[in-house]
Amino acid sequence: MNKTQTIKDILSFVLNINKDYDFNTLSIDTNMNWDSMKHVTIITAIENEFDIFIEADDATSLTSYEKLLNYIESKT
Amino acid sequence: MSMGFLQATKIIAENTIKESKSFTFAASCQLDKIDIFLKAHFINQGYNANYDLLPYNTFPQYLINSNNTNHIVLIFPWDLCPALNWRLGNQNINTNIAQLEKEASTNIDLICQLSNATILYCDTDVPPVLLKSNESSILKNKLINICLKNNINIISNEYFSLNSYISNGCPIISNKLSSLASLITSLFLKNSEPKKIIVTDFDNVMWNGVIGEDGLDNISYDQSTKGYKHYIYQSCLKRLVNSGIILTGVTRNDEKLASLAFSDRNMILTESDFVCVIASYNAKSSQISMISRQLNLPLESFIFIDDNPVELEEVMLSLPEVKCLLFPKAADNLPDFINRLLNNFNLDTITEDDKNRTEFYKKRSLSISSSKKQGANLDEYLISLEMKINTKVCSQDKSARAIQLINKTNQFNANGIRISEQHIKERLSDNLLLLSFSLTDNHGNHGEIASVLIENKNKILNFVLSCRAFQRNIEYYVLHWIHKELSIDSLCLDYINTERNEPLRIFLSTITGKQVTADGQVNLDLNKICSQNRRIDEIFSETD
Repeated sequence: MNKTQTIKDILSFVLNINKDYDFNTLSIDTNMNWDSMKHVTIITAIENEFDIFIEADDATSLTSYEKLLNYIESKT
Repeated sequence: MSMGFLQATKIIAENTIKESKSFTFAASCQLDKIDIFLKAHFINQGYNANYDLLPYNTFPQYLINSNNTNHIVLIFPWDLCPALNWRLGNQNINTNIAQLEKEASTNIDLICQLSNATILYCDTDVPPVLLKSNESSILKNKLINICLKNNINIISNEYFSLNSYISNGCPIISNKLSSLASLITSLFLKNSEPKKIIVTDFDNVMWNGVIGEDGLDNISYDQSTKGYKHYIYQSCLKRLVNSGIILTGVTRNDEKLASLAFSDRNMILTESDFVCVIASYNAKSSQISMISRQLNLPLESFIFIDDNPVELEEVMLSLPEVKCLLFPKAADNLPDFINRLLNNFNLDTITEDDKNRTEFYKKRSLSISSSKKQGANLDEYLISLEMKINTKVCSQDKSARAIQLINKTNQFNANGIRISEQHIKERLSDNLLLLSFSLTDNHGNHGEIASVLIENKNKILNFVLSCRAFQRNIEYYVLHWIHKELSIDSLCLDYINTERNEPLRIFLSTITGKQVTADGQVNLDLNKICSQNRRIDEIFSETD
């Protein structure tokens, strides 16, 4: 599975959104489900799926699909 | 088995299992992150995990107020000693190891009172509450020992992430969540499945004393002071046998000797109460595996009881499916032990079939042959014991205990020859060398546990090791010490087969690479023996 699809699958599951959602607009500001607890789960899932370790400062800034994708592209 | 986050979500989404396991997941930290993995691993084992997770920071109150049954409990050093909490922020605490150890013992008692609890202790690094560098390591070991004494499962520091704990309250590193969930699942299911078979050790468990050393007349299992703990234990086992629980025995003893004890009419249990008894000098894990094969019963249904933490560790490492319980040293701990033992059985309904079960399995276990299988490699565990040996070349006035050991020890004894104290003392200034080895470890001081009597620096007149120091590689340390410190490259030893010195014969066969079967001189090439990598330098340190 490619990185884009993996991130989309994680966000779909955690935020309970359809896979045909416009992910390019998805962020903590545009989705009411994306609260701090869900954010921790998203970061955990990303770390787990990509087998990486995200520093706390980075984790707090990864608040949109686009930021997550860019971060993963830079780390893997 | 480890799995990814998305794999776990898929398992949950496709789940059709109906049967559930209910429990409370108790911890002082944030563990929401493990939820998805825990549910997926339970499904993989055929159950839905139906559980309540304690709200953050409510663990201490829960310990006092809990009425729930069935628990998974994940604890960390700060649950034993709150001052060790990395999130506390205030490290300006005036404390010491003794205070912290006492506090940990009190808190572990509270935690162990939780009903039907599968408890895991994560051995994390601790904050610098104790400033001396070695004090933190000593404290960590003491906390592990407290947990081991309470039969708590230990998980290593590799699961711990300080970064995660500080930033979101979950001390478990993300890429270990799945393997931790897998471990928790298997341990919980292991504990929640009722046990059917008890495997009990004999010496210092069924009776007070070591039958191979003390002899039949000097072991006690009646209502006398020394035997009372064992009397209660046997009474409890008898009732379990009558309720359909299968009783088996494993012992590092000669078979005849082991059965001899049960010939006494005053013994509560008789040989007929046991479906089988395995008496050999092989690893206990090998003996238990053999019983499992013979009776065709899964290891998950076994509970193993021994008084020796080293034996328990060996079984835990080799057969993680088997539940292990430490038989208490102090009578005060017996009620708690009996409670924990009884919690493992479903004794609500006892049928006629249950009552006849011992006879049924006895027929199945007609003959059990001995196994030569090796047990688990205990090196890492032995290293963690931090064993320190004090070696003494005995002078005339400080030789009493070493001589007593030679004249008292039966099992690890080269020839059973008794030598008078006077005779040895007279020759000590002449051509005899008497070495005495004392042991301390993080369980305490074991005193003088081995003696070697050497004549003319080339012949061992006797080599003895106390049975309470078996399984620790001390016999190898002794030969290493002689080789290194006395610059002796070879020794001979007069071996005489006695009724009880099978452990010594096995040792000689192992180190010489030849089966020692008959009486006679055995030559020991210390260069060769000591060149074998047994990690002696890592396992032992020397003290003055």
